[in-house]
Amino acid sequence: MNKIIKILLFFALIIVLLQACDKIEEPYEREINGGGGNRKVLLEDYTGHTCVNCPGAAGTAHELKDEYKDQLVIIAVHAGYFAQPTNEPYTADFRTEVGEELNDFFGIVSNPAGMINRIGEGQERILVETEWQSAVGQEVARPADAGITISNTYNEQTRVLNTSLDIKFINALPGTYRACAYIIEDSIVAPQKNNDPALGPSPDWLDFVHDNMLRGSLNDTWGDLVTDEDITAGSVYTVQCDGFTLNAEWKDRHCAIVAFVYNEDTFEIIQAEEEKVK
Amino acid sequence: MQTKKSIILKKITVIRFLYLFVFIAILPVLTQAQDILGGQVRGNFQVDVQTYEPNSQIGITKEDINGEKVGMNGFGNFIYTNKNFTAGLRFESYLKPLVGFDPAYEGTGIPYWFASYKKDKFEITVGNFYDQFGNGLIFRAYEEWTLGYDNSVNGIRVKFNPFKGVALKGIYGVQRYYWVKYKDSDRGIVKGADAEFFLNDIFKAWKNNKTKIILGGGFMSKYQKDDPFFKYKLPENVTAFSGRFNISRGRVNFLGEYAYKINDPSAINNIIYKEGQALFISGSYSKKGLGITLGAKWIDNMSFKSDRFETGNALDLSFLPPLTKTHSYSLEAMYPYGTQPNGEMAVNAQVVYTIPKKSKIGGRYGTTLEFNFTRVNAIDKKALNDTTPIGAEGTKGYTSAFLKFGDLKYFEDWNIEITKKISKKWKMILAYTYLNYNFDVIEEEIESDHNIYKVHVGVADVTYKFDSKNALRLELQYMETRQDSGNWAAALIEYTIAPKWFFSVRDEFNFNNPQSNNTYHYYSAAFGYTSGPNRIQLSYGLQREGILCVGGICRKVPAASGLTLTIFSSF
Repeated sequence: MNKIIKILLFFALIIVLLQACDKIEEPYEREINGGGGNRKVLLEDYTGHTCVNCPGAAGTAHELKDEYKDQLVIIAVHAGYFAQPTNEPYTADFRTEVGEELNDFFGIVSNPAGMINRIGEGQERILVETEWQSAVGQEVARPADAGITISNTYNEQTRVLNTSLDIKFINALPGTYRACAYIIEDSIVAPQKNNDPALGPSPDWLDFVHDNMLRGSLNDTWGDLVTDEDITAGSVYTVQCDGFTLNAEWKDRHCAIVAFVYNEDTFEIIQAEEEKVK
Repeated sequence: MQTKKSIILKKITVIRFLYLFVFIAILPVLTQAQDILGGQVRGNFQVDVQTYEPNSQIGITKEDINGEKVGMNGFGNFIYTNKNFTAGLRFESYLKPLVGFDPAYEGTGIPYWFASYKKDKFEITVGNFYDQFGNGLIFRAYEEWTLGYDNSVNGIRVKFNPFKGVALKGIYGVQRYYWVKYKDSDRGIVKGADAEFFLNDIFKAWKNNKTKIILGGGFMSKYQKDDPFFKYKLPENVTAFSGRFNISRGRVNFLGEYAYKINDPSAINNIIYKEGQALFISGSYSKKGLGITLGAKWIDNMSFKSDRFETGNALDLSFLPPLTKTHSYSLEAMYPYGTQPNGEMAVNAQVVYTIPKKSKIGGRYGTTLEFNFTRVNAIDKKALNDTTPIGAEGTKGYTSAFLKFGDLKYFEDWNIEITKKISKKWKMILAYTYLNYNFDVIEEEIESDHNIYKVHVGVADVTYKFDSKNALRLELQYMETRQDSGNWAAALIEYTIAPKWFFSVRDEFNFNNPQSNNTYHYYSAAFGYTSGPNRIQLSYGLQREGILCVGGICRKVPAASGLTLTIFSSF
């Protein structure tokens, strides 16, 4: 019996030494001291109309937009399995060539999934919804390395859009940079699966409002090379994207151009910007 | 005209096949156990290769295949043992991973290696290891090749048996996450200890007692640093405890385990701060010709992963044992149940009875009846107050009544199987299954009863033995449901030349599909060759979309068309 007590005491000692519990008391919410930076951050929300958790993620993106305003730019990429057209009422096809290519390239298999400035390597880039807020908070707190000015010239009759991106590098940067100009559309009312009755009708949310939906690119999935010179502080470059015709079904007043500059080798986005088409 | 890309892809495909044939050629050399430096090397290999081709009939387009015409998953295990010393490694290669496996597996390398030394009362392992505490409610690290699941721990494990009847172990490390190396607290550091007491060995007076009692208990703790940018406060140290017993006397065995976990806000539980609990109990009675098993399981907020934001099939610490029957016939297995870690209450009863040989009903060779029932419901969750919905983020979540069924049905399975050997030449299995499958809960995580599939499946499996080597088996299945993809029928003919060869053809036929006016045939043909420890299997045809579950963990297998080659060998 004596030895049993010894063993139990020894075991109890291990438990005391090794384990630790952090019991969190209410309130669970806390103040976040972010900010200070002026980097404009891109959140890519990979989504699909049959993805039941995606309305929650879209809600998180909206909350972040409310918090960080112009410092956050959002693209909702409808791609992959959950974006495929299927049975009623999910017959719409919101997929784009650009979106599918991004989805395949970055290896996104589950939705919702997000990338914040495409930071990290491989699968590290892909963040679940609960990770977005922290990743955005960290990025907006950084100083910007570049600024982008988008100038849109849009002809309402022909629906042809000419866009120029003026990119000013604030700091000298190693590496090669490319610039993309994507077009997004807000306020598209279409059915969306939803598993959270606290957010809206479940399981089918027939009049869901899809915002920031990626519609295409003005200069392909991977954009144009900004320059092949070394990037020096204060250098300015222009990327011109002319002759893009808006699809007749898109509401031009709900369309905007999202531009971003990224490192060609790491894919890390150093600055993003958004400007309405008209 | 071929594009440059397609020519390169073709070349790569040819090179992959060349590698494969070289591998097959050297297999006999590799597969002999080797004596090296006075020790023994053993191990096993498996290679799964699948080709993909478009098929308009089942809706696989060129775009779906996207130029990736071949996938390959392969591994080789090598274990070296020399007296008290054991060391091993597993090489894995996914180029590219087969469709349905996580693309994060793409790559090739050695994700698993270990060295272990055992002396007297101690055993120390460094490197990767698999282990579990009790039934696994707070810790189980294991690998399941068919699912692409591996949550091995990389670190140190110590086992210590101070006296006869007492087994202690402690573990410390980080879990495998595909090919991603641990850095900067990107996942939790896990540590735990477990003790098991065999009372009949400890107390001399109990040594010859017919009642055998084993008690056990332990804890598992994870440390993951806080994230100051996250809007809720996060616990850095989360611990789960468990206690268990196993009592047996003669034909009766009774076991149970209870686990408790402190607040663990995570992506799976929607950042709620409620404690987690789980209870698993099982009792069985067995005698010649009769076996009865009764089980119950109550799970409440018990997902326990070493990364709080992981949502996929990875980094699990807890394993919540499934109570549902694992069906072996393909249509019975079409709607498998996946464990719901946020809450479920399950009961199961299984009776196996063999009607004795040479009785009136039992016939000359006896008849075995197997009956199985499983029911899984929600647990009884109540809102914290009138304004906070159940499970709302950043709250305590809800309150729950211990061991109480909730109203919503998740899954039900009634199954009866009769196995009868009619004569020396004929053997027959008849089975009937009735399932209720809550699609919304199991596949969509929607707490609703709008889509409960009611499924009937009948199976007849008849084998005729020509002689001691040659046998022909006919398997017929019929499934009826008004939901999902409607009715299915399946037929399989298999010819076996024991112990080396088998040849089979099968068709799974989908009709009365509420979503389509078409009918679909999924034909396939297969053959396999087994020679001692080596096995080669080749099949060609169409594979329907499905869900594959092992131990309550599931993965979606998309529809595919093409050739599948599996080579397995052990030495």
